[in-house]
Amino acid sequence: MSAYVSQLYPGTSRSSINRRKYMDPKTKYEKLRSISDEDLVRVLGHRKPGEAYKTVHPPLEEMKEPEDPIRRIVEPTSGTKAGDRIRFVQFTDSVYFSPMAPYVRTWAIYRRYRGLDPGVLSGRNPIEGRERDVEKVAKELIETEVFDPARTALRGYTVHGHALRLDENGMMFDAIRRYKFNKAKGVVEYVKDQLGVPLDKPVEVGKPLPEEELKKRTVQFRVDHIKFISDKPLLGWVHRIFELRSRSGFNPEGVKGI
Amino acid sequence: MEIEIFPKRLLSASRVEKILNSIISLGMAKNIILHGPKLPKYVVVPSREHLTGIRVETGHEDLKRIRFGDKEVELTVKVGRIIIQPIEGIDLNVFSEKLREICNELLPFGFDIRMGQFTKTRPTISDSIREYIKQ
Repeated sequence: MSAYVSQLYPGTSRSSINRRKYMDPKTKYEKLRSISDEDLVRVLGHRKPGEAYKTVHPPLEEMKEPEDPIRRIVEPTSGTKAGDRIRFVQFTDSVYFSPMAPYVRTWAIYRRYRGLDPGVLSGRNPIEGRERDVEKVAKELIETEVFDPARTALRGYTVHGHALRLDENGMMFDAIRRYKFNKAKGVVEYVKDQLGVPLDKPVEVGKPLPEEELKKRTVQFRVDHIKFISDKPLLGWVHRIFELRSRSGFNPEGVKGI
Repeated sequence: MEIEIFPKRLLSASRVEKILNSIISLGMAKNIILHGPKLPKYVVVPSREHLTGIRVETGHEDLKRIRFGDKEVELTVKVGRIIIQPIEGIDLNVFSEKLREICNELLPFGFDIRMGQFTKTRPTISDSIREYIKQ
């Protein structure tokens, strides 16, 4: 009997293909920029670079945990083994062709990483977990194709701006002004961390991608780009789910064989 | 009847200054309203030293005084819409054509111009409540 292979997401449009690609655990995200570990820690704002991780309990090896079959099967993450405290990173995605969207990022994190708790709301994506696990996933999510310096942002709070028009430099609005566009270098710099605390020196997160490139990489469906209703297989599946749940709610016997 | 300029991008303070000066030079506007998301000057952020946080400046580049005509005004919003109330008796079509020429020159990323009523014409219940509270 063959193992179940998840189909991930229906549809044949570019946006659907991108969703499957980003959600698939086998996909290696294309690296587009580099951010040093030190700069990442500064932008996340939970500790100072070089400072030891604060812990909430001793390392698991030192703790006398009761014998449990699940504890034998499940390998703890590195943060859990060390006893790190729970910290978070939060992303916001502009509706103007940012590579990712909140729900798709959440689905991707559930499939690709262990030991993290991704939340999702219409305008933001908090990702909680043990501190060093959060740093590891934040590094991958920032350095690769699922992040655009202008259209995706790291915001701990006051996330307003994802649905506003971009400014003249193509940047998403941020009331706290955590980042700015350095016109001389053509890069986006974070001048505050995700919690709004000013940084000693700016952290560069790279050049924004041109809009044509973003339109190829985005997972978003938009009326002025790839319309949701234009992807017939996807629409067919959504229709099927809605019809089945309505009919089966009325009479479960009535949907047998459909 | 009012005219609204709706650019496809949020505007910088320097561009708003240029547009306002161009609109005023036409001599047809009675009132101009600048609308957009608020730019806070200060924000309270977490601090290891202070339990209740510390107040820091946001540092928005567009939070500055702009000069148009003989007036100076402190900009407190990131301008997204410009609503113009014309002087009575002005031909709105002529006015909007002139505005279109100004926008074609100063808004290279695109814009829409609409005519209609964009502001309240009479007080509502919330205005009455505000008056009551002020008393």
